[in-house]
Amino acid sequence: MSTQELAIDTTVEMITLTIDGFEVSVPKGTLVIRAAEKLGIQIPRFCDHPLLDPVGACRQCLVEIEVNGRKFPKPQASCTIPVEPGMIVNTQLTSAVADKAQQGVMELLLINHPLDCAVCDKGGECPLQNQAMSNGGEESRFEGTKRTFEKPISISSQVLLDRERCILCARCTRFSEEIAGDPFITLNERGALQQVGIYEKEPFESYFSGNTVQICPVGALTGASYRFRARPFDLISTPSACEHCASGCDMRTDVRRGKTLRRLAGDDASVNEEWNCDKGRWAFKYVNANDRITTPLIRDEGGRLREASWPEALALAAKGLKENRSAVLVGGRVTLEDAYGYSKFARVALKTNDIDFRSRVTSKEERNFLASHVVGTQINYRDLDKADQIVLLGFEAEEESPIVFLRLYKQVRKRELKITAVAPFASRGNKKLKAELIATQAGSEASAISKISNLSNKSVILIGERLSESTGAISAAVTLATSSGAKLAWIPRRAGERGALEAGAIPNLLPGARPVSDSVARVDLQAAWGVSGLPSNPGLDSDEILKEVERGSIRALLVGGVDPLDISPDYQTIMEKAFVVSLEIRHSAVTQIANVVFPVAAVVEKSGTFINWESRGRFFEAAVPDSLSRSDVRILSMLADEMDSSINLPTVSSARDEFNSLGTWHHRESFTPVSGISPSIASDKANLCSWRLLLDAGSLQDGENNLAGTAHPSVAMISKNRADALDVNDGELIRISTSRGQITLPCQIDQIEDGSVWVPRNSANSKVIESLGITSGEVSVVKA
Amino acid sequence: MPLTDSDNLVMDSIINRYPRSRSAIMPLLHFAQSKDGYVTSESIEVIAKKLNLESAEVSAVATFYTQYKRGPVGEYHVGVCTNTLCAIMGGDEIFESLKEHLGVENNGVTDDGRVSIEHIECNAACDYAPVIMANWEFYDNQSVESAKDLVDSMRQGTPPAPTRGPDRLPTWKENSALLAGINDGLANQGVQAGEPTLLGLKIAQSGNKKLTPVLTQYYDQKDSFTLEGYRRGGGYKAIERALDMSPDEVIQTVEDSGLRGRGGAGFPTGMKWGFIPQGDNKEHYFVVNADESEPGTCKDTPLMLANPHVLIEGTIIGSYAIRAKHAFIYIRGEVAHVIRRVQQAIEDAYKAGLLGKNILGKGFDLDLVLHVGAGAYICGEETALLDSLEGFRGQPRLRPPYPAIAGLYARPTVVNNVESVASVPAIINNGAQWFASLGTEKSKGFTLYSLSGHVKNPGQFEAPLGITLRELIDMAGGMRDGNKLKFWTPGGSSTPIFTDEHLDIPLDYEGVAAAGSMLGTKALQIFDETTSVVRAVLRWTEFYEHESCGKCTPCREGTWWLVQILKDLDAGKGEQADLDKLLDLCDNIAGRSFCALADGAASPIISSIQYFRQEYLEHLKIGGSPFNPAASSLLRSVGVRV
Repeated sequence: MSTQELAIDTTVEMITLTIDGFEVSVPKGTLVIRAAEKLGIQIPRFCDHPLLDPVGACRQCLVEIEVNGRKFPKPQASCTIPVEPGMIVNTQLTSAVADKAQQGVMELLLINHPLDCAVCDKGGECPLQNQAMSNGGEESRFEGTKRTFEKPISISSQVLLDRERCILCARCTRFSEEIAGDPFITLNERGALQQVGIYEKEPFESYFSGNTVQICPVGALTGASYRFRARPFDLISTPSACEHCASGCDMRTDVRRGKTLRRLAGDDASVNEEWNCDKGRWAFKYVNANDRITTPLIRDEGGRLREASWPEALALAAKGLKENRSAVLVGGRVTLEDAYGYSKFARVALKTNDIDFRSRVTSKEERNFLASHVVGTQINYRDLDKADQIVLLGFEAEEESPIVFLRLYKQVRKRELKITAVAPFASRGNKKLKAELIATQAGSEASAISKISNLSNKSVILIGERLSESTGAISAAVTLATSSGAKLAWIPRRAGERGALEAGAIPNLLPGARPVSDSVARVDLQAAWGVSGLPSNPGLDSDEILKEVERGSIRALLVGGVDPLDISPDYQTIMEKAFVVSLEIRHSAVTQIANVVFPVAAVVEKSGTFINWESRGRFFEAAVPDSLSRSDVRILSMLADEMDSSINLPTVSSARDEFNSLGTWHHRESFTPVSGISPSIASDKANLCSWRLLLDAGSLQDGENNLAGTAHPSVAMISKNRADALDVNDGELIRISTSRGQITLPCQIDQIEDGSVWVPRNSANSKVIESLGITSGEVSVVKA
Repeated sequence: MPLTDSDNLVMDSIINRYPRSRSAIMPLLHFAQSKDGYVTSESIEVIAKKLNLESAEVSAVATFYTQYKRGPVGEYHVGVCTNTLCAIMGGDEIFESLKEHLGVENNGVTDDGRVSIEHIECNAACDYAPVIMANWEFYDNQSVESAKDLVDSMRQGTPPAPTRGPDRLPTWKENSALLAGINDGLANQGVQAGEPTLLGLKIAQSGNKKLTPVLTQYYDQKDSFTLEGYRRGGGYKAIERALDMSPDEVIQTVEDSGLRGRGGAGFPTGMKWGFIPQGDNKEHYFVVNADESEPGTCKDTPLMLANPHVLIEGTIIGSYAIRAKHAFIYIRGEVAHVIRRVQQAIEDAYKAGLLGKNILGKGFDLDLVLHVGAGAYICGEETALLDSLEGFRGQPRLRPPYPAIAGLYARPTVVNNVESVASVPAIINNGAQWFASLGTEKSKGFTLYSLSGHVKNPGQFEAPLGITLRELIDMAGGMRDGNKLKFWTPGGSSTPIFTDEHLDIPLDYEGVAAAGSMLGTKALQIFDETTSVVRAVLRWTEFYEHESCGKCTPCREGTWWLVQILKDLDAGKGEQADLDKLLDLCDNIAGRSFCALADGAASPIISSIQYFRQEYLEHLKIGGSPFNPAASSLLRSVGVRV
C-alpha cells in the first residue's frame, strides 16, 4: 500500500520510530524512505516510486538502521524496509557510513552516464542531476571507458530512448507491467549491458507510455514531440484538468510564449494518482491548428463566411435566435460553467427545454436514468478500490476511460478483483483485467444483464454511455442494482457530459438536478434566477431536435462544440434548413453551414471546471496567459443581453458561483423501466458492434502525428466461423455495408461472438455513423 | 520455427510439466534452439503466443541467459573455459590457439558451419583443468594440440567421444533438445566418473582414515548412476524409513544431525525445513539448487554424474518432510551428460514407483521436474533461481518475504544445495548421532572437498569437516613440481583468498571464518608461486562483471569499473593511489549491493591486496607483469595430457 492509501485508511496502526534523532509516527507498513519524508528528510532515490512495488535496485537510498538495539551489519535500502517500532534510522545527515554509501553509489551511477545535461531535455528538472549535486561527490575518480549505445532509438512513434543516459532503475518497465499491464518494454541483456528495450517487431504502443517519460529519473526516455523543444526553466506551469475524457485527471500544462509545449499528469491520489493516458498527455496541438477561428464570422449573401465585429455578429445571432423557435445542442466537451451558461440561456433567453448535451445516440430511457440515478449522486474511485466485484456494461474501460481502467487493473493485480464484462468479445483491456466475459450481441444486453447474479452491496456496476444504444439494457442494469444492492455508476466518454448533466443541459432537467416536470423545483429556480416563468414541458433529445429541424418546426439552432456526425449522417442537409449559431474553436462541419460563428477559448486558454464521472469537480485556471479567446458562457451572456433576456453570467466565476449557490434538488424523477428488444438479424447478415478507440480520428487529437502513430490499426473483427464462411484469412479485406454505404477493412479473426462484426467507430477508414448510418444493427459482410 | 504437429505436442508437454505455464519459457527456448540452432525472432513469437505473453517478455528472458544464441552457431559449439583456474592452467593458450587455428574470433563460426567457439566461465570441472565443453559435453584435461585435433575432427564430422559423456558427441541441436528435457536415451553411455573424481575414494580404500566416503562410496562402480547400481549399495532404503516416520520426525532428525547447507552459506538444513508453515493449505515446493557455477566449485556435478539417485532419494525425503508434492531440480544448462543422467534417474525412479502417486504404497505423492538453466551464475542465488524457474530473468528478489514463506509461485519453498540434499539419505539410514559424531563441534558431518589447480593430483575428497588443506594437499601428492603454495580459495572465488599461512586452518565453517574467509563450497583452488595473483584476480573480476545480473548499481557499474582498473594494474599501468582507489571502490560495492554477488566480486580483490600488495606494486614498478603465464600453465610443465 502506498502511504497515500495508508493515510486514507483510518483504522491503521501507527508506528513510532526515530530518524536522525527525531521521533516520527507513521502508519504501519510505511517504508523508511517515506517516514523520513514526513520529517522533511529527503533520502536520495531513483528506483523508488510510491506507486510502484519496492525493488531496491538503484541502492541510492542506503541508510543505517538499528532495530531492538541491533544494527544491521550493512546499510539498508530505505525504500524497501517497512518501519518497525523503536527503529533507529540514520540517514546521510547523521551517518558517515550512509553518506559514504550514497556518494559511492552516485559515483557509480555516473561512471557510465554521459553527463550531457546541457543538451538533455531533463536538464534542469532531472533527479539525477539534482541528487548528484546534493548527495554526490564533487569529482568522479573514473578514468576508464564509458559504455556507449547507438542513440536514440525510437521505441514507439512517440517515445525515444537514449540508453546511455539510462540508470536502469526500471521505473519504466515496472510501470508498464505493474500499472498499465503492458509489458511491451522490458529489461534486456544483463549486467553492465542490461538495457531497456522493446521486442524488435513490437513498439511500445501502450496507451499509457507517456508516464514512463514522466517518471524516468534521467533523460533516457523522452517524448518525440517535446524533445529539444524547451528548457524547463523557460516554461510556465499551470495546474489544469484534462478535457479528453470523464476520468477526471489532474494535469499540469507547460506553456512557453503563449504556446503549450507539454502536458504532464498531475498528482491526485484520489483520482489519477500520478498517471494519465497518452491522449491526455500529448493531444493538445489542436489548439494551435491552422483552422482556429479567431474572430466572429457571419455568412454573407454569397453564402461565404466573412469576418465580422462582435457587435455585428451578436446582433445577427440574437435576431435569428429570437425570431425563430430555437434549440440548443451543447456537445459533451464543455466545462461546467459553460454548460450552465447554455442551460440558463436555453431556459431564459430561448424559453425552451430543447437542449441536449448528448451529441450521440441517446434514448428516453437514458435521460430518465440520468435524471433518476445519476444526477446529484456520488460514487468514486475509492468505491472501485473497495468493491468485491465490478460489472462493465457498454463500457470498454481502457478505451473509454483509461484511468478507470488503471484503477481496476490495480485492484485486479493486487487482490484479484473480479470483473465481469457484457460485451461481444474480450477486448485486450478486458483480457488484462481477467474479466469474465458474458459474450453478447449488440442490442441483446438487456437479457444478458438480467442473467447476472452474485452481486452484493459492495459490488459496482459501471455503465458506459453506449449502453443507451441498446433498448432496455439500462433498465436491466437498474433492476440488477436494485435487487442486489450494488452501486450504479455512469461513465460517459466525454469530459463535459457529467458537468452538463448537473448543469441541466438536458431536456428533462434544470440545473442542480431539478426535474423539469417538478413544478416546485421550477419555482425554486425561477426565484433564484429572478425570472417570471420557465418552460414546463420536457424538451427534445438531440436526435429529436434534428428531426424537428428537418420538419421545419425548429428553425434556429445554437450549437456548441458538436460534431453533428455523432448524431446523424444527414446532419448537413438537415441543419442547412435552420439558422445556425455556432460557438467553436476551429472550423468544423457546423461552421461550414452556420450563419454566425463565434470563436471560443480552448481549454488551456480559459478557466473552468470539469466534473468527472464520480461527480468530482476539478477547477482550472487558464494555462495560456492573456489569451483573447473567451469562454462560451461569456459569449452566451453577451448574446442574451443582445436578446434583452439577460442571463447575467459575464464571467466564468460568476457562472460557477451562481451554479454552486443553487444547490442540489432533493427530489428525483422516478425511473420507468423499458423492456429489452433483442435485435433480429437475417441469417446471412451480421450484427454490427462498435466503440471508439482511445486513439482515433477524434478532432481533439488532430495535429499530433507522433501520438497517432501509436493508435491501434483499424480492423474488422469477425469469428473464425464467419471467416471460413467468407473464405477469408486473417488480414484480408472484408466489406461491411448497409444501404447507406460501406466500410472496407482488413479482418481480424478472433473470439468474437459468431453473429457479430466489430469495427472501430471513428478511426481511419472506419467512420461508422458517416459510412453506415448506424452504430449497431444489421449489416452485410462480404469478402472485399 | 515452422511448427509441425509433433513440435506442438512436444511444446505442450513441456508446458504441462509445470504448475504454471510461464515456467516453460526456458525449456521452450532450448527446444527452439534444437529446431533452428539459435533463438530466432519467430520462435520468440511462437513461445509468447503459446504462453500468452508479450514477445518482449520472452525476449527479455532469452537475452538474459548466455546459452541462448542470437545467431547460428556451429554444429559443434566449442566452449573453452577461461575462468581463472582453467585459464592459468592452460585455457588461455588453448583459446588463443583455437581462434588462430580456426580463423575466427570469440563467438565466431567457421565458414563450413561446423565449429563455433566461445570462451566460457567455470564449468564445474576444475579438477580436470583445462577443460573444453563441446555442445556442453566434457572434454577434460585438454592441451593446445588435443584441442586442435578436436576441432579438426569436428570439421571432418568425426569428433571423438567426450571424456565423460556419451559414446558419440551429439550435435548442438541434438543436445539443445536434451536441455529442453527430451531424453535421448544416452544416459547409460560413458564412464560414471573420471580419475580425479575417484581420487579420494581410492585413497580411502587404500586405508586412509581421514577420508570418509559416503556419497562417493560407490563412485567406482561402473553402473553407480543406475537404479540397480544405487540399490546395490543400499539405495532407496532411507525413503522407506523416512516415509514411516512423521514429516516432523524427519525434520527433527535432520536438525539433530547438525547438517548445514553445503552450497556455501552453511545454514542449518533442518531448521530451514522447519520454517515451512504447516497446515497452511498451500502448495509447498522443494527445490534443489544444482546450478553449480561458483568458480572452482566442482562437487555437485560429479556427484550427479556418478550418483544421481542419492539426490533423488534426498529430494523425496525432503519433500515429504516439508509436505511438498512438487519438487524441482534446477540444474545448470552447461553439463549435458549430467542432465542426461539426472533425467534418466528421475524417469527410472518414476518407473520404480519411487516418484509419482502413492510412493512405495505409503500414501505420499511427489512429482519431480528437472529444470535446465541456460547460463547464468546468478541463478545459484536462491531467489534468482526461483525467478528463473518461474520463467523470468534470473534476478534476485527482495527479501523478506523469504522463500520459506513466499518462494516458488509465492508459496512456501525450500531451496537446498545438491550436496545438502544428497547427505540426507545417509542421515536417515545411520541416524543423526552418527552424522553428528563426524566433523567438528559446530560443523558436523562429512563433506566433499574439491582440490584443483597446482597440486599433483587434483580431485574429490570426502572427509569430515575440519580437515586441513595441508592434509588434503598431502593426499593429492603435494604441489606440482615441488613448487611452493602461493594462494588458494577455501570455497570458491567469492571467498577471500588464503596463503600458505593458512595451511593448518580447520576447514569447517568456524575455522575458515575465524581466519577471515568463508568455507563456501569447499572449492579449494590451489595456485603456486608461478601464478600472478593480479592476473588471477582480474580474471575472477571479469567473471563477476560477466555474471552480474544488472539489477543493482554497485554490482553492475562497480564490476565494470573494477575490471578496467585491474586490467590497467595487470598491464603495469597506474600508480600506487589506484590501489587505494580500488579498495575504496570495493568498500562502496561490497555490502551495498542487492545480493552477495558483488560481495564475492570484492573478496578476491580485497584479500589479494591484503596479502600481495607488494606484487601489485611490482607490476606498477616494472610497467607490466613480472610473471610468465607459461610457467603457471600445466601444458608446459606436464606436457600433453589426454
